[in-house]
Amino acid sequence: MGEAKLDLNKELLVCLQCGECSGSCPLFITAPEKYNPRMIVERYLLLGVKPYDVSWLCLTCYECHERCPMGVSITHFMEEMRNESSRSGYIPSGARELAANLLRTGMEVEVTKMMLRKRLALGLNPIPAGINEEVAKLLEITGFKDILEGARKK
Amino acid sequence: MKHGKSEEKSEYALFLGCYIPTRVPSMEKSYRMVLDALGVRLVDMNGASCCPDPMVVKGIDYKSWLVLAARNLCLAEEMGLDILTFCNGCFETLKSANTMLKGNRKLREDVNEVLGKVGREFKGKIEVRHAVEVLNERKEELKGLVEKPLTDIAVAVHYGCHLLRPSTILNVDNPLNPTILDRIVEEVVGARSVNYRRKMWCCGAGARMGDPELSLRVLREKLVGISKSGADCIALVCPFCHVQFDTGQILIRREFKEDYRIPVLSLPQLVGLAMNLEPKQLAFDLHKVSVAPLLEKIGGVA
Repeated sequence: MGEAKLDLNKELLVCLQCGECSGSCPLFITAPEKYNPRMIVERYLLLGVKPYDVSWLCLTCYECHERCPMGVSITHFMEEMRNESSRSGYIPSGARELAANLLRTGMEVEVTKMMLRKRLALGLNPIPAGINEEVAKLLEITGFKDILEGARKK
Repeated sequence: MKHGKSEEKSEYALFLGCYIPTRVPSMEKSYRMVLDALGVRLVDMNGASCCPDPMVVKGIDYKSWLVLAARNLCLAEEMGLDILTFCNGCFETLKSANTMLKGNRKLREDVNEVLGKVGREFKGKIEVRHAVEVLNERKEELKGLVEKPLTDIAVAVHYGCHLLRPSTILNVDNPLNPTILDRIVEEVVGARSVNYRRKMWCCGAGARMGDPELSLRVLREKLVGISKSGADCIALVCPFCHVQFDTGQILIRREFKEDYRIPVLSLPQLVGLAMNLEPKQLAFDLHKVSVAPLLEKIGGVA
């Protein structure tokens, strides 16, 4: 559904393997051994290798998305791979924690007592904590809760 | 400019999100002060959830991300107000969802089927704006509020990816060679915006979860460039970038034994200084990297 749901083969098959994506990627330039978008696409197209683990590294900075001469969005490809990775049971622990917060409170990041004091000292409102049943219900309907529980068990 | 005078509004539904109020309240405080001085009224959104973020939640399940974003948009529609956000992440999520849902009937029907179960409907009646856009279109008024131009200060501007990209949806400025922040720094604040190596790079925050060491190495590339440029401070508009640059410098000191000590300011804090607002009110004491050297230099300008 929507932008991130790509017909991957159709979208990626136009890739020229020119390497503009890798050349514009801060991760590749910093650590080519860890993250090489051009090669990730090559391995996906030729060998069917799905980059579940490495998809979680993508900065989602959209540099490659903006620059690709063929209009391929590797950012969206990585998002799709994250979705598949999650459904197959792998979500990195940091992401799982934030998602669990969202399910429990409607917020990914919670306010600490210390931060609440600092806010009040600055004249800022306290944040309403512990919402919200409506959000939890929506996340149950969309299957988010099940995906998260599936990943926790693995 | 994409937004002319005729489109200027002075009241918005404030979408605060979860990261700014809990981790970077200095950004919230300074934006509220600057926008208040401009006569922009911000109405808090009751019952809003996390936007939700365009990396974790969108990464886990695209549809859940879109449905929750649509619910937040519904709340503002019910208030009859456009959304204003201070956060690049919230901006990307809410503006993307709003644009896609407005433009794709099938998608809208799918999402409304889910929202209908909690008695809501996305109608597509409002717009989503980043606070930077409002500062930019009110540059002339903002200039009038400046009492103390920071003429001796060199600023390294950092945009933050999700203010600009994906550009076909966000449409704020040139996605690879923007000037909107540089121009506010130069024309309003009166400071000099410096060029530096890796200026348009991401801060690296996105890799913090998957590979913290790699995330710091990306940040280090930026800090090396900024340090060589001779900038007195960094100015940015995203809370994730703020934490990455501020806390990240402490981590880099520990991990790489390199000490940069470049003060990290959110753009409204910098504008606030030029407006001669009290540094205490701008909450610099919440920063990890001391802002004192910058404040001393400004104090000397008089």
